[in-house]
Amino acid sequence: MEQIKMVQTSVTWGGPESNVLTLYVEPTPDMWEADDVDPVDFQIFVYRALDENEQETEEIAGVEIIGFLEFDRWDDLPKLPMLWQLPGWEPLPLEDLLKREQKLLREKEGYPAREQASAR
Amino acid sequence: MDASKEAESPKERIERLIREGKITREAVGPAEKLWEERLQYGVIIPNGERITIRLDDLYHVIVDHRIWRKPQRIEQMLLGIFEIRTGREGRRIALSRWGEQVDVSLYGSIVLESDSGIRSLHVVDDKRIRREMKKGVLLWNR
Repeated sequence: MEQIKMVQTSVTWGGPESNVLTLYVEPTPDMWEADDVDPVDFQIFVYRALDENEQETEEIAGVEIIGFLEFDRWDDLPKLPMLWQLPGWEPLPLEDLLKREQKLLREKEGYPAREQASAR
Repeated sequence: MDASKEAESPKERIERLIREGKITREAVGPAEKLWEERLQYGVIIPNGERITIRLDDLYHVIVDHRIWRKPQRIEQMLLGIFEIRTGREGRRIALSRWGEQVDVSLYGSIVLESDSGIRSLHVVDDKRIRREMKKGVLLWNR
């Protein structure tokens, strides 16, 4: 059985114009490569840590979601054996943390109520 | 809790990484200079489209060590686009190849918005590029 790892996390939000959210493992590995893990689109990237020879390792450095305010393809998220912990919050699985961040950011950015209703 | 208090902007992240000694200010300076001198006016990619790069986009893409160490790769990557494919909601993926040494190609993928802005830009390996070439519908190639 795969062991669940708990990681400290930070969030970068580029604002509604860029609409890109990135979760970073903290401290973030110095070198990583973005892996497009989206099965159908180019919306979900996993940052995979690299070793000193720039070869990919098993370590995860982050996750990037393009079009985050509208994102609703939760089933397409990678199944990472990790719990992500933001400072002051309980550790959460990736999907739960992203849903919480999306709710907060939709409120902050005044995401249209009509679209929020249809996304529920 | 206010989301704005826990989410950093890309610029705030860069500033924190500088404070923590992960990136030097000297490394970020050339990227900002490149943006001021050229990137802010847009880059015309091989299909003739002018791609716009906001300052916030710059801070987002230079968190990748392969970009902040060589920010000129942003422009090289855009000029090296050889294929553009469809994504959802008007987004497109541009695949790029360029060289910095004889006989060595580097590859990149760029997520473009319908308004010609960039959303993401990464240096990737050739295996990933081949995988991207199977997604979406081909819009343009050279």
